[in-house]
Amino acid sequence: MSEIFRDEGTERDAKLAALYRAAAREEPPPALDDAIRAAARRAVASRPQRVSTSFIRSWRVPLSIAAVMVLTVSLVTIMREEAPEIMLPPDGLPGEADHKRTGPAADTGESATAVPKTSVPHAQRSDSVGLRPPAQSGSSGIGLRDSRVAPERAADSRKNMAAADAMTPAPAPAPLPATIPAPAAGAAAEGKVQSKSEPASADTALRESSRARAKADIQPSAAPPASRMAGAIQPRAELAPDKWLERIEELRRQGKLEEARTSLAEFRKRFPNHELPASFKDWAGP
Amino acid sequence: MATAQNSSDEELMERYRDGDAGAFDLLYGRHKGGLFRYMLRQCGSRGIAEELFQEVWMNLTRARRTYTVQAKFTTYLYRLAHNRLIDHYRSQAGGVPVSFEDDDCPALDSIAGERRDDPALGADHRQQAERLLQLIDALPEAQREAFLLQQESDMSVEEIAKTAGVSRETAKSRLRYAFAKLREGMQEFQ
Repeated sequence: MSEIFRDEGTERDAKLAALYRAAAREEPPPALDDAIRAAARRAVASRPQRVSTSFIRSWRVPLSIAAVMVLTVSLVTIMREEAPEIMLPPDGLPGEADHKRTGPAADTGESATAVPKTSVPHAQRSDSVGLRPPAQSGSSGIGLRDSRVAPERAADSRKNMAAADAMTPAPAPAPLPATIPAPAAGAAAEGKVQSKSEPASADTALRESSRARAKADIQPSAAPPASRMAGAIQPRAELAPDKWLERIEELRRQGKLEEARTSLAEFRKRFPNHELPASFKDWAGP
Repeated sequence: MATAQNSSDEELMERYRDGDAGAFDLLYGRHKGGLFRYMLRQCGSRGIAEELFQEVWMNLTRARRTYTVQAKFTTYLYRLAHNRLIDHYRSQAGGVPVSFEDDDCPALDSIAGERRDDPALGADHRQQAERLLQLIDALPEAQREAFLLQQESDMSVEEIAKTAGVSRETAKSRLRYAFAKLREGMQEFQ
């Protein structure tokens, strides 16, 4: 044994190694061997599952993109269907209404004459007219839809009015649709504004318009076309006399003499005592 | 099967990676004893050694998909064992033994005289073996690890350094001091 321990400078010792191997004989218990081997086999057996996992992993990005696209298309479709209801302000579509208000009038040469540009909010207009039931004007959902429909009906009414201006020589107060058109309300509001300067004539105009609206409430909404055309003149009748005369003068300046005369005749019927300006006498006759 | 038995550890591990469960059985049979004894000597408790031993093999099966031959299989296997052992030390109250942190070994002069006065030592071979195991247990952990890696897996100094994550010089120093202590302890059998 003595030679075992003499070689102190080396990192190997054959005798010590042999003695260690003879002494160290511990082994793991057989149960542990079996458990480890079984686990190793299970790990290999679960390989097909990992293959499917890698398949899912490889398709994860395309599937995600497809899902996002489907969601996006669905959302856009739903938003398109519901956008008008969501995006409408309580006042309806003011821009569209303005466009409709000015568009047909320009076509007929009545540049903003049919409806003055008064920025009266819809609620205020309704209040000033005072014909809409409180429940209807105050409600949110149905009221929104009504306020949205009103400008469209008003636009139709204005188109009819423009045509009637040119065609109807003797306008008469005509029934309005059941729903009050915005221009009528606007005209009434303008009447309020005008009443500061000319209270008497404005009151007359308001009375006229109120009378017409009362008739409109009685008349069914599905009125015959002729009465609708006659009703198209109604807003003009609600104008203050001076304003009306200004517009007649404007028509004349534009060379639409026939229309100007027709409108003047209508004016004279409405306001027989109102004195015409001197410039009218040159072309309007006695 | 004869071909598989002649295969190197690295080839067997590659075959196991590719789904050959029989290759694992061969690998396990070759290295289970050495690894178990390494764990047993390093942690001192049979129960803990069995637990750590099993975890090392489980780590090996989980890591097989990324296995590539970059070193000897034994270096790879015992590196897993070393890391698991360090984690075990960290979870204990004493933490990682100082000998793993300290690259400088004590002077050879201080080694002499340890356990010389053990009255239970005999003169026969069995007594020498028991005495050697006692001396191994008394070694600092890092030196014991170096000795066990050499004896159980026949590693070179370089491979021991790689497995323990230290420089070659440190591994060589640990090994030399381990032998010096063991020789010193076995002097009484001269």
